[in-house]
Amino acid sequence: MSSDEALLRKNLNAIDKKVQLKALKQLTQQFSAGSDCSAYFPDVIKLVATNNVIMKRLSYMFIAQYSEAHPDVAIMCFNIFQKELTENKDQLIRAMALRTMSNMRVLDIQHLVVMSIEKAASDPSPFVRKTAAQAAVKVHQYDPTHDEELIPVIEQLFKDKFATVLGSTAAAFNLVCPHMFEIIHPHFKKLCQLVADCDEWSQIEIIKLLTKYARNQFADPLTLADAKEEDGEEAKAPEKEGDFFDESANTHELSADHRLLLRGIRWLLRSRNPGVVLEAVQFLYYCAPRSVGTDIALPLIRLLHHNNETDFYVLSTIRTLAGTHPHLFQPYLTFFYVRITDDRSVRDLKLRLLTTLADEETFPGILREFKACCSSLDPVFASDAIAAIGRMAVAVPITANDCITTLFTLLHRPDTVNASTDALRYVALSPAVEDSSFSVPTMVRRLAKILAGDIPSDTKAAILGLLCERMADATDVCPDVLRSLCADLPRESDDVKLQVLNLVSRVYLKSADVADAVVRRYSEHADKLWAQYDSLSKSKKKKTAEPAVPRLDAMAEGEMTGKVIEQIRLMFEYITAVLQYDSYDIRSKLRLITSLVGKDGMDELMGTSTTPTVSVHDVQNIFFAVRPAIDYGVTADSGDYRFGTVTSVIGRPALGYERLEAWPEVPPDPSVRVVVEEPKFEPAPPVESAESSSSDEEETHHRHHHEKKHEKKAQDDDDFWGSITGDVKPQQKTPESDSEYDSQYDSQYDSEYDSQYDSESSDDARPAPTQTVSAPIPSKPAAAPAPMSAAPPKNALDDLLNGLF
Amino acid sequence: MSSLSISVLNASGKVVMHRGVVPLSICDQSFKALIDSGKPIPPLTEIESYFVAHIRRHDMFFLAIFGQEQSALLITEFLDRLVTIFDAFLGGVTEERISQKSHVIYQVVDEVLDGSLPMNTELNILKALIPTNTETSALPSESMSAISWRQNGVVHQSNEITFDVVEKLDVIVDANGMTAHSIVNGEILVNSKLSGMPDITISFDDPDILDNGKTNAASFHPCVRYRRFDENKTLSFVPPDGKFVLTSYMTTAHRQRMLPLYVKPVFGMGSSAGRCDISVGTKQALPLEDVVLTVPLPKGVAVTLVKPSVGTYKTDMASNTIVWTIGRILQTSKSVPSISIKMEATGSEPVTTKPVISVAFSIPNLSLSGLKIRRLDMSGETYKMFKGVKSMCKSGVVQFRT
Repeated sequence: MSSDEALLRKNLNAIDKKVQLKALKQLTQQFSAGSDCSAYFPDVIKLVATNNVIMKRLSYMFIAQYSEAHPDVAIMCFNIFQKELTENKDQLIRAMALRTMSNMRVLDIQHLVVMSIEKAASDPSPFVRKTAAQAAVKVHQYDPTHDEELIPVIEQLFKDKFATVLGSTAAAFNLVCPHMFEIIHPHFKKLCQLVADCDEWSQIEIIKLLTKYARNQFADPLTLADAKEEDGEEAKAPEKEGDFFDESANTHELSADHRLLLRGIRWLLRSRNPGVVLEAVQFLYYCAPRSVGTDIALPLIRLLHHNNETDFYVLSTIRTLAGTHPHLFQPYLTFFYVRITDDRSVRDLKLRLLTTLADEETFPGILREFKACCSSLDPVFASDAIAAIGRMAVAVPITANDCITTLFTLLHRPDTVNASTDALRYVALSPAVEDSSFSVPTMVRRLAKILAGDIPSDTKAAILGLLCERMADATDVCPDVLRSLCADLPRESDDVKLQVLNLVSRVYLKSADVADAVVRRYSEHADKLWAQYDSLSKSKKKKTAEPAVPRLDAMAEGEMTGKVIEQIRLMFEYITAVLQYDSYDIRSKLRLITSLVGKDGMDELMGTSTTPTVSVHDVQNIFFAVRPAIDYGVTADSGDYRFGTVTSVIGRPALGYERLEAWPEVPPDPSVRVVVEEPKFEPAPPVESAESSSSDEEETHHRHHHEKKHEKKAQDDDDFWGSITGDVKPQQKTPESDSEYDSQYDSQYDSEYDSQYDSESSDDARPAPTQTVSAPIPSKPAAAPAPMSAAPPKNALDDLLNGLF
Repeated sequence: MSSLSISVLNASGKVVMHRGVVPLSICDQSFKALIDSGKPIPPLTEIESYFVAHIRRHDMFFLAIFGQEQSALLITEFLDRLVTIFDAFLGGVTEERISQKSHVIYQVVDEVLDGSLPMNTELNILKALIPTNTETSALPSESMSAISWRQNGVVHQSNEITFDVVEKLDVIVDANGMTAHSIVNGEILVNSKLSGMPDITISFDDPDILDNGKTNAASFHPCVRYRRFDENKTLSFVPPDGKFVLTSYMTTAHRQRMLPLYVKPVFGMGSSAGRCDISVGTKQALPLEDVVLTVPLPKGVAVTLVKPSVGTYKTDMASNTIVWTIGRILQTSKSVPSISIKMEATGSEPVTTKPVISVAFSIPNLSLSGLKIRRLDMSGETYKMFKGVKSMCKSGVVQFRT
């Protein structure tokens, strides 16, 4: 090992560059796999001054990685980086140097990094300026004490016209000074217009920023729409009020700026990046008026089924939205049907989402889907599907009947019996069902009826268990159930025997109540039959057969109750007698029960025993304790957290999570966003005419227009840069300047893409800053007429595009 | 703490690559959490005070570890993009290649991730920024252009651009033969080999297909001018060089409402033995190509006999799955391809679960949605270009329940 180390060290210090590079790559391989290579730090530091790009990059990364362990040596390199940043002609090297500086984790040099950032913020290359914004983020994250110094840098970077710079600046704003909206005011319009041109990751940061901004600066679009409705002659039906997704409301009440913002972000629903779409959806959900709401369903649906991870977040989001607005997603119900490619967390979410979407119209399809899932080869998933049926029965009472019927059929399959009994138990114990049309006693009775049939012993045991638990709902059938089981008891499985034992002891303990219930049912039945008979014989005056059951009077009832109690006692004794010679499990359970409620136990309870050890109360507690309800995790939800956030996934606020602000009651003065235009030159007519005359005859009108506009913009930018770099320009502020600005922006917005690379190409036209930094490429003034050639558009464009970034 | 660390772990949890300030022990703990098969694993887990987002690709785990609130989907999408980029740089993502070319990977990660912010994930630009050729010592700054997806000075001998309209059919068919769900996911794949800065405009016969008759249903490559599409339903763009996805769309109301093929499965399992007979046929005049049926059999069942009328089959013992490769199916062929599988029960419990049969196929020269490119124009360049448009229908997830 040590010889390897020595060799590597020797190679790093070799004179041959190729050997050095090879050694450095070897070193990279080692430290990228996580091994500690800080011992080589002094050797690598010598390589920093190299001209080879790869070597430079690798050594820079190495130094940043191990700077924390070797702060003293790292500081020595700092000068080299600073020099590169100010003197290197290559923008990429300058950016690399700045990036490395800000990656160094040495507290003592942070103020120097900040100084470099300040310098880089006015670098001629947008690439370096973008890096400056990102460096500001890193400085803030590593050492927040420098925020004060970073804020002016961020303010300056917002003046940039390059979408790519603005994106990273927005990220810095979000972290460093997330609420200093006064910085944003003058650039608000620009952000709205350029957000579509930014790279995808920047778009997310800008949307985050604008969401905060909108909630702070604009009036609540929902209340605006409400106010309008109230003013109108025909007020909306009250139940519609506050419904975000009501299409009938419109955006007329919104301020112009708010509209501009919505327009800008709506484009992003078309992004190919799911992260951007989700962020845009979040914005529209939290900041848009009702009419926009309907737009968000389809883009979300489109994101589905590319990979399981994306599906997870999209489905979680849809589930949150569907909780309050199911109608948005009900048209896309079949998209949530389970596919073989779905992984477990996605399938689970789909089942839950389908339950959320269930209503009178959609539930047949959903139930069909659930049923299909119950036959899945994956037993865990099949159980989940059965649980989903149970959940649906409870959540949407109108479906209860069908759901319970389905669950009953599933009881007959050995692989689903446990899950379906659980589900039935869940339904039976739910208070929601008790209020609904479906009565639990009916259900329990139906279950009891099944017991008489030829069913698997697991099912039998499960139903008996449920019957024990819900005895109060079907007291009168219990003796009958027991009676039918007595006959074949020795041949039943152990599980069934145990449950029989449970049930019979409960019935025995409550024999008075049970007998009452049985007799009451009997006499009700008899009364009904006799009443029928009476009315029939009265109306038709014809003799019908008397009911076979005799009517009971009070005395007969009492007599009968006594008989039933006696029967129950006999049954208890019979069952305990039969099971006395059974397996160990049964016998020990039996011993427990008989000692509590059997003859000895009863003696104790009645006080006849001399040494009472358990009270009646204890016995009640033991036998009639309420089992905890099944937790299907129905309540577990992302809560009130903003969807799509890490916080909503883990279910508690993550570090740095920000709640949405409430809308301001009175929106602040919108005039702060009015931008006073920088003074600018009028485009010189002679140049323009020269330009147009120089253009080829074959040139299309479109192209023509293109260049002219370009011309004008280039000059505007010229001016823009002049103002930044401190060039003195004649001030010619006219009253028209504002409106001119607006119209310029509007036209730019209307044909944003036409002018996109034009506007960016303005970089070329900008005079080099007066510092030592030279522009990356000797640039050709864009205002100069394009050289005459066979294909002028191409050349002109090339010139403009050269050297950018 | 708050910056984003990227790690790659192989299938047995060994760290293949790690970049960031998060201690390696977090990777180990994450791996333990990820292979815990007890419960469904969400794509985001919490390890100590860190959040770990993971995706599993190429039999490796790609982790992003961070400590602060983020857009969860952004991180996942970033990882996904990163794997695509690795793939392009390494020519196939394998553990060996990642560790061998770690200097390239490290440079890539350095370029696409600055602190906690993803950036610059355009392959075009990355390829220019990171020289894979070790001899290069200068950076190609001259070729950086204002539009992030295309470099300046692209030159091709012959200028051509091809459009492949690839539509994938997703179908779920019920046990009783009813189509429960059916959509078409389409993509226009472009391969552009054009010199200079061409500006392309294409228009469609029925552009509403792209948006499924509604709004915002289609997504576009960033090069497409969204506004132009909303105004006159044409796609106008300066294409990146090489292959890219111009647009992806989704449509439910596709022209061929019926499926292009049928699968008739009969599955029956008694207490000791059972059988599964499946027949497949086309409803199209065009032939079905590359037809493959996958039949996963329930647990507790052993295959005793498989008899396909055409094609070959393979049995995967581990997952108890039969893969039947048919190849081509013509409408004119006299006998319908069918397979007969005989099974016996291995356990004492009756088998009540049912398999879901999935089918893969492709039909060349068919556009299910009926999307057709009507015109293709170029401005900005004067040379003549060759253009080609091809349609193709493929199976996405096509499953038949039994």
